[in-house]
Amino acid sequence: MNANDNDAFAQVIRKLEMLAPLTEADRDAVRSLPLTVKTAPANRLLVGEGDVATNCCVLLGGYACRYKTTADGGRQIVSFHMPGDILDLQHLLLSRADHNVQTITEATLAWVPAAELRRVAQDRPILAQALWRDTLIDASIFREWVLNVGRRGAKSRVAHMLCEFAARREKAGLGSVERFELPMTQEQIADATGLTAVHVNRMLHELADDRVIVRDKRAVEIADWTQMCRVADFDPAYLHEAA
Amino acid sequence: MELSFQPITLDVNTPDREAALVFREGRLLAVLTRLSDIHDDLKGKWFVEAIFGEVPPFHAPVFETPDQFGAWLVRSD
Repeated sequence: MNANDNDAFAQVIRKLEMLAPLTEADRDAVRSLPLTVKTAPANRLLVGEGDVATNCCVLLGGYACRYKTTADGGRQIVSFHMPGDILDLQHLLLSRADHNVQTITEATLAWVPAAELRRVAQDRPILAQALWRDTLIDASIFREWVLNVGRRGAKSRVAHMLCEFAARREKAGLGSVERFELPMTQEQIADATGLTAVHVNRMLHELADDRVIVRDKRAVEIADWTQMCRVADFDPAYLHEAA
Repeated sequence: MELSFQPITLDVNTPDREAALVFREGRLLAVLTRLSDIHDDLKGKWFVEAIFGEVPPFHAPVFETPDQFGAWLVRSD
């Protein structure tokens, strides 16, 4: 095990400890996993829809997204991911990928064979509980995204996506909610919110004109968090404290 | 396919107010917006704001002129 692996295990354990109260034996079980750390460039497809996936991965650095496509090429991004997120936990029990996973920036990933993770989860109920809880929170976020794309106005949709990104970043220990760099392009925000990139640009300008956010290229400063949450219709309860 | 265009002003909060109604044989087919300077490189191009035909607007590119929209529509039909 090298220093890189140690960092990787520390991040995975930190994530799992946010989900369930691990014992030292649980932490040792995580450290026993055969974990492979790899880097990937931006826009690299990690898992393709239809692939038989035998590994799960934890995003250690950088950003990624999950998306699905229509037969005529339309793309819907269904989630954004940040360091600490467990991608493809579903491949613990579902072998065939039903969506695509792609990096959106250069990324570092820790890959774990699904069979090994399944074995550890079977032996350690608290670890199993942590993984189950992560999956349930994932589902809660998907429900919120359906609401966002289906029923909110364009400005609220974009604001909600930004609020969630900011809140999850803060929870992951990546910085404050008030100021952050956006890793995703306007096209990617459009694909996540069911809008066009032109309309996303308009909504970001409107939020800036309303003095709710301040923009400087990719950097976003939320000038008024309370007002931003109101515009976004954002209530972090659906993140269940751990995401 | 005969298209006609009618300039209009949109009642919106963004600076993208200059627009055109597009008619096909007297029926409203689409609303095109001329993109303002908030869109950097796309400034001055025509964006499909709404379309009432079968073509999904998400796949429409932006156009140099409203006429180019007509040409694209023929190719997409």
